[in-house]
Amino acid sequence: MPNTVIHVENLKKYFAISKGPFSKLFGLSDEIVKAVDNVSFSVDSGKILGFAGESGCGKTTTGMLCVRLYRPTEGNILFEGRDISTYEGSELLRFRSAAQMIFQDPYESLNPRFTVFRTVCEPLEIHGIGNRTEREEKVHTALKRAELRPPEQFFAMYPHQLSGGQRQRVSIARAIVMEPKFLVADEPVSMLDVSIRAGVLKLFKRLTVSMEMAGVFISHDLSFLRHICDQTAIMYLGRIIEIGDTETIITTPTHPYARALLAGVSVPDPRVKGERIVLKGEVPSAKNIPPGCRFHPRCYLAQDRCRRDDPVLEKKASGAEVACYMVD
Amino acid sequence: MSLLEIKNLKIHYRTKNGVAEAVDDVTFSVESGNTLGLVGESGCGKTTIAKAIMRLLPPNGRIAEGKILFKGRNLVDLSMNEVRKYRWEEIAMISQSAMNALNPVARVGNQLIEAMQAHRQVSREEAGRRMAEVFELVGLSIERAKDYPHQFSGGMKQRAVIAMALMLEPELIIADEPTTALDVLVQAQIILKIKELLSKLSTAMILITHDIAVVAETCERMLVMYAGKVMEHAKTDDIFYNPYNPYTLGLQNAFPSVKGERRELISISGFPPQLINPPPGCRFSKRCPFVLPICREQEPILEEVGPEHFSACHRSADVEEIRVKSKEEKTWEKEKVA
Amino acid sequence: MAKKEFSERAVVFRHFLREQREVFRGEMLSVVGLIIVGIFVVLAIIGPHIVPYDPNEAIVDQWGLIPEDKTPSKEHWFGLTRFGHDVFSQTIVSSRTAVVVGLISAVMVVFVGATLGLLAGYYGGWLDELIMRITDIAYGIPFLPMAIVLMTLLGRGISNVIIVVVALFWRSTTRVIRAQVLTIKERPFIQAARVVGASDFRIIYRHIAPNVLPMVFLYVALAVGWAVIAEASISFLGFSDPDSISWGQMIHFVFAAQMFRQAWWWFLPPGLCIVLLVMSAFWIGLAYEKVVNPRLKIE
Repeated sequence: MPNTVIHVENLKKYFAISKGPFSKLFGLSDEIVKAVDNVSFSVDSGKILGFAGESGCGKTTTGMLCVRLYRPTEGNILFEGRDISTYEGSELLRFRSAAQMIFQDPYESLNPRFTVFRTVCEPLEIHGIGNRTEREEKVHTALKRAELRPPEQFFAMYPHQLSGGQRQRVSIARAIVMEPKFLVADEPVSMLDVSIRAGVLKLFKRLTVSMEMAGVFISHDLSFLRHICDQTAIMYLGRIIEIGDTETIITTPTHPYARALLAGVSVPDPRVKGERIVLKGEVPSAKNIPPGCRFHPRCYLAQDRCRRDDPVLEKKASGAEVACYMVD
Repeated sequence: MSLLEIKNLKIHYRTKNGVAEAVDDVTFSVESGNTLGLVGESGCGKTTIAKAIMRLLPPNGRIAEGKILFKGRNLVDLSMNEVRKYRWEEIAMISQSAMNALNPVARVGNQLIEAMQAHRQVSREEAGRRMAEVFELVGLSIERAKDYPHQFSGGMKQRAVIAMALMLEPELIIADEPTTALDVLVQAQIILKIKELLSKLSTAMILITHDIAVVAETCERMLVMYAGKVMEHAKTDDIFYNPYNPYTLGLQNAFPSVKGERRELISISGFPPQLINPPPGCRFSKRCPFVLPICREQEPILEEVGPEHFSACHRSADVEEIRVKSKEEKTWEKEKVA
Repeated sequence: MAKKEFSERAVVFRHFLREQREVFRGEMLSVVGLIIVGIFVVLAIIGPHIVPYDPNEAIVDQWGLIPEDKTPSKEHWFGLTRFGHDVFSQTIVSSRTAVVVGLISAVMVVFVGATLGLLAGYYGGWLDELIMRITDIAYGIPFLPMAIVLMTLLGRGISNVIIVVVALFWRSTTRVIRAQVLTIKERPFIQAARVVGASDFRIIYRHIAPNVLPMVFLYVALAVGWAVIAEASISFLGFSDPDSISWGQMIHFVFAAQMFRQAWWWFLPPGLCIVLLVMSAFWIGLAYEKVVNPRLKIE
């Protein structure tokens, strides 16, 4: 029975770039970067939603909003039915024990002066979970779940003694030690060697299912999404432009941007000569989002309507939800 | 005669813990106008080889043994003056995150002109003309020549760097991870552009990358390295469709694809051996699921397993069985974790 | 399964020691500095007990007169002062003043400066502005004139010298520590600490502070040097504690007795000691400088 853990509605995050303390005197208003501009989605327990897109599309910001590393400008984030978007203080702290995040850089996401034990134990200390012995056991379990065996051997180690893959597993152990219900992974394998990426990805998937968590997986590399995400959302300039079943989107994308993106991925097979779709121009700055459909200046299907109206996500023939007027 | 011939190259790094054998007995060649993809994970030695060819090794690195023959001349023996002559003129290099190679306070066009004038006695006009030529070759509009690097997008900077490498019409370009830091669509554009350039000009290229998909698209031949050694070397098609080396098979398993059937993603457990006093035998033996006792004692030599197809493995004879088994996940499952 | 309880503290301590040993590996000069400072510390502790003569008692002959010839001799290795005191004993006993003032001031200077730097760097905004502007003002204050004013107000005494040094030298560490904090703040492990629920206090003191330690140690080493020179200057000008001896004070008396052109044996020992101690402290700093700025490392 699907159990929606996280439900996001109309999420917006705008950053104001101040032009200096005296700018208002000269009539210059702050520039607004619309990093996330009206995003909605849900994730069920035991499932993983992937966010894909190029740099600047807002996927990392979305992930950070979900774990409240940022405060939304607008919109609701419902976690197990409760709106956490405005939580502060002790409410926020309680939320943190149930929602965690794994970061991209295995070399920088661990405090170089903390032992592995300390890193993984810290969440328990902060939230006052268990006594000394119980904490040791929980750390032990977390490391074992992250496939660092034997766990005791890793207690006294420092990050610089570990390989990239091991460090990332320590980050995972830290994230799961409080048995959260929601886990966001921001490009967790992009900086790891190719031959060990698969192991870490599959660990993430296994844990999501076995610990009954809802997972969000952020990646600019589309090839990995296919293997661990149940659903995928493709973002462009702060908006989800296509969302649906992963296999559908990867093999038969509908939105023109999604099609170009997937056509652009190199395939490890010399005989596959795919047609590349070349888009005009470059991604505009999030400070100046084009009117109407934000993709229209670069779109090969754009018509008048696209320049005026901003499409919303609608279910199309493939089964995915797509924000485009020009496709079925 | 091959354009570039690497023979039994050994490169060592002096570290505080001892001497790291970063490149060990590597042999391969590149013909005029051909492309070679040099593939491997971090620490395998591919960038070290590139640096050695350009004589840009850091102070603690040295070419311990072997030859680097470019058009018959051994580059290892040359004096720094002679090195400066062939660098950029005959062999050009585009290094990783080359976008940072651009001087942020100089206009892009000027940087290309000055790069040329540093090597040849040419007037500014001549250099300017050549600059316009290469700008067109890489697909940059000439008006952008007066811009500063920060005004260029990532993809444009990469094109500018490629343009700089082409200024002196080198015969060989070494591109070290030219697309790694780029977004999908930009990467696609640069790859297209590289392919176009390669077919138009008669420049040879060594493309260094960890991404076999990029090699699949751009290179005629491919060389797989691991922990300083050559594991397999053949036509790209052959490596993908007739792989012999277990490491190559493991690597292919690790690369998912957005096209075709959804394959099982399989990891290789463990991590690369240390390069200081490396263990005896095959350097991949600790992680190889097909290891035999001989693999731990004797280093396999690079032998010919097919037409222009070389692999370093004791079990080349069992290749059929190995290919089948390597597709199964349980073959690669081991206790020690990466 | 019976498990021995894991002792985090023991691991951390051992790691810290190993780390410090690593810092000094290959740094001959820094090790020499460490040894020399060590010798001075030992002298500071046992000095008064091992000196051949009481530094405050004049050497007199059977008629109660101070010897005419004050130059160095077999009995008095560094000779005598104008007032008949044994220079060697005075020099040794003065180490106590130098070491006490040097170490205590250095630690306090860096503590104050680092705390302000941590707060300014972490919180930013108005707190940062405020602290930085106060630091700017502190920079504008010339040391010696202000030191004289403060000593006049506070009176003479070692603790006042320490107060003066701390009050005027904290400014140097603040800016540098703040800059380090700004870079550390952006590193993902800080975000990770936040996501796990760490409070600002915990992030500043458990995560950021330990990572600025090498910089802190560097500045402690430098501050020892500054403090010793500062104390010597203050004493030289005549503001030293009349109840204790220091090198600066000794030199002050040489000048007051107008014997600096003749009595080289009297001012050379204290002068050289000052130079030696300060240089040694700076040499120790060299080792930490290499840690803080890895680009100085030559492989």
